[in-house]
Amino acid sequence: MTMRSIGILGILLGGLAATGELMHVAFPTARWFFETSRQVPWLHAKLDAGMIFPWFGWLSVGLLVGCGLWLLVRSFTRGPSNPITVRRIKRFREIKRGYYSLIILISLGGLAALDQIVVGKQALAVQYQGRWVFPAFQPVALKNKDFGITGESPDAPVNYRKLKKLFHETRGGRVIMPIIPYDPTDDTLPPRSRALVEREGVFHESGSRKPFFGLAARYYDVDEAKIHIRYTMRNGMLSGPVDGWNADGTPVYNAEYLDGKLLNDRFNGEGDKEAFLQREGSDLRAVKYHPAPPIPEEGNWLGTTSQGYDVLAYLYGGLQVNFKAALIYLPIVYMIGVTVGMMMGYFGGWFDLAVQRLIEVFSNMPFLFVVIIFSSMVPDQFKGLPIILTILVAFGWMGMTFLMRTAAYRDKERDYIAAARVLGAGTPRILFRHLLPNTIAIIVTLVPFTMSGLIFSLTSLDYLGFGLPPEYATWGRLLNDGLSNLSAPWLVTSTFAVLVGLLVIITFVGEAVREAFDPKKFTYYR
Amino acid sequence: MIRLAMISLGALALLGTGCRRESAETSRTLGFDAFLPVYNRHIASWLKSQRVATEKELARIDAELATADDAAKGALLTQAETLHHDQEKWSFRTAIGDFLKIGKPSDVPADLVWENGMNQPEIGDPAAKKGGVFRRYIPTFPPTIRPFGDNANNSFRGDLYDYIDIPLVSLHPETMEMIPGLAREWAVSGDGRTIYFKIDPEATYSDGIPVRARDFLVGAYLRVSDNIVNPYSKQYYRENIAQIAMYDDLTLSVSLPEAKIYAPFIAGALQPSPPHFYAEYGSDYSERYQWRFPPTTGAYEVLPKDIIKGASITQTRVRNWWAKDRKYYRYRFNPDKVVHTVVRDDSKAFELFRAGELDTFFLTRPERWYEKSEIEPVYKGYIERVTFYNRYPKVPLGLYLNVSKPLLGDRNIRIGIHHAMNWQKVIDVMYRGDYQRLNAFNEGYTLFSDPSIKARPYSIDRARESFREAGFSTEGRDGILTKPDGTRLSLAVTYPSMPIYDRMFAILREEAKRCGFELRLDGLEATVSYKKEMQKQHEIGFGSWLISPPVPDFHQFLHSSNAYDEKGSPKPQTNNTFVWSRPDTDALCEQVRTGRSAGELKAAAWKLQNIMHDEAIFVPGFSVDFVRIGSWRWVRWPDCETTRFSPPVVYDPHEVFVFWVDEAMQAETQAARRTSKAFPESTKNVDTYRIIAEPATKPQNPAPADDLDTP
Repeated sequence: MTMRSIGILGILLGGLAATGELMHVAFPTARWFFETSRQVPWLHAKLDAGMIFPWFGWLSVGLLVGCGLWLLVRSFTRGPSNPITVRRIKRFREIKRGYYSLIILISLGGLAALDQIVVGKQALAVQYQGRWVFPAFQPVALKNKDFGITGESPDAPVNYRKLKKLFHETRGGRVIMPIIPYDPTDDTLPPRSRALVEREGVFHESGSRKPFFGLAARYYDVDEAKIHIRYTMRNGMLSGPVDGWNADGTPVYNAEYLDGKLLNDRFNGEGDKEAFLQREGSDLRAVKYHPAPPIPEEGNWLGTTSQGYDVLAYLYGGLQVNFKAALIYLPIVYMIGVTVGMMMGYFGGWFDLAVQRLIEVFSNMPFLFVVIIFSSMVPDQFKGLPIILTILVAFGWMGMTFLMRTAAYRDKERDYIAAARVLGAGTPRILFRHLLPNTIAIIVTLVPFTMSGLIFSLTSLDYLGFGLPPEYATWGRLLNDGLSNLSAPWLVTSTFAVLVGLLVIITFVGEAVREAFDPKKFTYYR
Repeated sequence: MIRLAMISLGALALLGTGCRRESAETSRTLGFDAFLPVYNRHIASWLKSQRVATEKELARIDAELATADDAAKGALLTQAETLHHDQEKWSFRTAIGDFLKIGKPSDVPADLVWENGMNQPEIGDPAAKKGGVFRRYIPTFPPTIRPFGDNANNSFRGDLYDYIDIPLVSLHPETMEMIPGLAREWAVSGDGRTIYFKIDPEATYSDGIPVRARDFLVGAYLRVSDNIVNPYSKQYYRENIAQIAMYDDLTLSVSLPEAKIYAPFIAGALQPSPPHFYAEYGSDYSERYQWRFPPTTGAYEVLPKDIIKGASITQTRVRNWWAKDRKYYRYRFNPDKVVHTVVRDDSKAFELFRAGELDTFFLTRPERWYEKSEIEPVYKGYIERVTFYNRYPKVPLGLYLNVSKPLLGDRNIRIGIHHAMNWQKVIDVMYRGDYQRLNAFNEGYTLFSDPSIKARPYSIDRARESFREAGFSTEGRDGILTKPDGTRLSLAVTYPSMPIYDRMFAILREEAKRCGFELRLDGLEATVSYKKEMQKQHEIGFGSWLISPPVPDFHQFLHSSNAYDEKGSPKPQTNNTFVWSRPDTDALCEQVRTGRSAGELKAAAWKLQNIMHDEAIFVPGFSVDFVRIGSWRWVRWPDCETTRFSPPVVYDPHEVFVFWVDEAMQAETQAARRTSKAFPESTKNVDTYRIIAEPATKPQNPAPADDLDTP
């Protein structure tokens, strides 16, 4: 059952990726294979005239569809499933905490896979001049001129959040945005602001009872945060220095207030001071520079980072990176670790000794130094998830070799191996068809802990600043940001909650798996 | 404050010969008298070898000129001109004789015009009171307190020597005119290369022993002798000074290899060294003098008991300081003691300031000004906050485009990059709109910077137009422009990887992408990135140089001798990170370096700034034209006719020592803190010296004709 659904999922993903590539549609998650292939220099081949062949994309499609088909076929041909496995799965389901954690984990994975449908600055659908277009699902970005905006920058990519407001005012069309209309990274928001309400001559932040302390401003343009005059407020009254800018951003006005009264001012711009002060603009608003606190009415549910990204979108991006990393890292690390470990145990002798020494050498290398040296050596085009994962894999495969080695040592003297050998089975067949299934318990119980270990090391590397480049959303960097801005508690609390939440869920799953696979259930009498 | 990414080594041309030859010629335990002839011989032979080398080089160029085509000829002619210039320098230096000379009083020319610089405005406030203790913090304890030798160039030497010692002639920190220091009078010779100084007869060291002309020669000896490892000083004296001569106890002269504007200031920067203090000078100088503070000509000395290793250093005001009643000095150096305590962590230091354990603190960074300093001591008026607009040259922080790289050789692409960098968004998002856009390289030298140059603004249209002119006509799937032959418009920026720069470049990259330009982020560990730029391997380099008044320098950044080596590949380890070379800029650089009048220098400097702007090799980033300081209310700052808060041409207002500690107010404030009595809150804006853009009276030319070179 599980096997069949994984198979179908693989075929579906591969199929979507291929269809998307051929039909120029960017399907959520499925687009990743070809996009990565195009972005990373060593994952595509250059043809002449600037064309490139994304071989990695096609290879992934082939692998996904191939493996999917094989799993699907096997699920019909393999006969009844192993009763021990069935019992283990049943036991796992009985452990409710682990079982529900797994369901939550899978749904989180599903949510992360929805990608630009949930989080993104590209509109899902735009109706313009009676036609519908779907920018989020097009690989090429649309331009301002495609929607009749010919103002200052017709060739610039469209800002759909702005377009939505524009269409709302002019009734020129309709824009449907994702639930969180911000990209995790590469989407720096202008400084935020919040409406101020005046009660008996004292200004309050909307929804707050306390008089306002801080910076307040009148804007030329609230969305772009173009400030006209910026005041300092104490106890809800103008008090302190005032700065004013003209429309092209040069400082032209200075003043000083005390308890709402003007002490002195100076204007050195073009034209008349009164005209400058009386200029049409927004009402007084509270200025919230980044990191801005949560402002639900602006759509920043968890506030913004000090970089100016939306925290919720950033957390989502971090979740995606973690799942992506786990999906690449786990199979590779297990393939290497399990194979080498089994061979060490099965062959023994000089091979065992040599690999053991190799592992000792590797495990004595200071991991952080290697990461630092690598990150200064790698040319900038190559930086990113693949390099970090390569380093993590290079240091991560050793952990399970010793477990697999002991398991193989123990099992190779058992009768079923001897029987297989007598029947004439070759070494690979013995290893992978006989030995491996009998040691599966070790592997399965380890997987969740490896995953939480991976997330933890990615986060700590990013926290230290040696992890992924800034175009990736990472929880580690957010945590670092939060700790250096403790006055912005929304950063550190939300990151901490999400990180700990995910690790706890994975650990619950791991505990349950371990218990379900534990053969010692009936070893003592009750 | 801006973190400075690179540190300039000054305008030193790196000419051959190391210091190994010196060790062959001077044995290791020479005293001054024995050293004098040996060193003079050494310099003479060095000059001879330089002359021979220059002649050889000239002969080679002459030979090449005969066969060169027109294109190569221009470059060769400039080289020849530079060499002729050098040749002239060597012959002048050979002609004047000994490097360290002991002359007779009759050697001083009689027709000199002596100046004394007494017509400048007073520095500081007459209301200043002497007394009190001023407490600051240092992030690390200095490795030594010697003024020269190993590790002497540490970050604490400014507080210990550079701001304290009185040079022969110094610059007025507002008018940038020369004012007297140790020298009471000075005069410039007819050829402008030799400067004569008359030492103030009352000038003494802090131990009461008078300053003599010979002490300057001794000072040179101590610094260039082989008893210490000090290649920088050795090179400085050898190449930037032609002669130091004394005529009697109070008269000396310093000759420079070339005539220069501000020559008395440059020559007068030499420091005397008291011979009696250095009586034990020898090869073990570094260890022997490690923690000994030499008698100083300045107002603060360090007593042996006040060096508490690893914890603090206290400076004590010299009793009966010789200059205490001199104009320009009488209202400065007011506190009796200045205590520097080691506080390793910045935020811990802020907490100490908040608790009243430190007297002042920098609040320039926006988050400190707007958030961290919104505290009760400020509301209650115990801590006063000031924004002070200074007039210091603007640190040239920005992107240095390496024109030797394929795409960057095209001027249209460089202009496109200028328009594709959204610095204003960086300022608005990261610095709360407080900082300003930098407009040009070497901006802010009041006289020598062209104020009409304005940085190219962010504009998607203009950027795309320039890129189109460079042949980038089609747009790829990822939104990046490409040439028909498939070349992508993609360049890497090399910068030291720190959270603040990562954030800044993330914004620039995001906005550049909207212009169809891919800015790849090559964030490296700080030393690695500096090395990469010094090797000229970068495409776009990010950084800044420490620049200082009064004269801008272009030579080290633009001259062709710093661009390419003999083989024609970019020359490593020079500050010309543009790899820029062109005959006309070479000539202008020389003019700025050797200009003798302000007018000449200004003309050349303005031309160079305009060439740099037109050729778009430097993308100006942002600058700060103010410092924000929080100080406890007993620390008083000048507020009088001549000085408002601080003289304007300062990097840090503390360095001119015009503040004072009012002990009565200190007692009053401490009492008020105990009873929670409040004073009125004080947040001031001192913009007396602010340079504000002139209101545009004539309509500005809206057409970007000069930018895009379109007919």
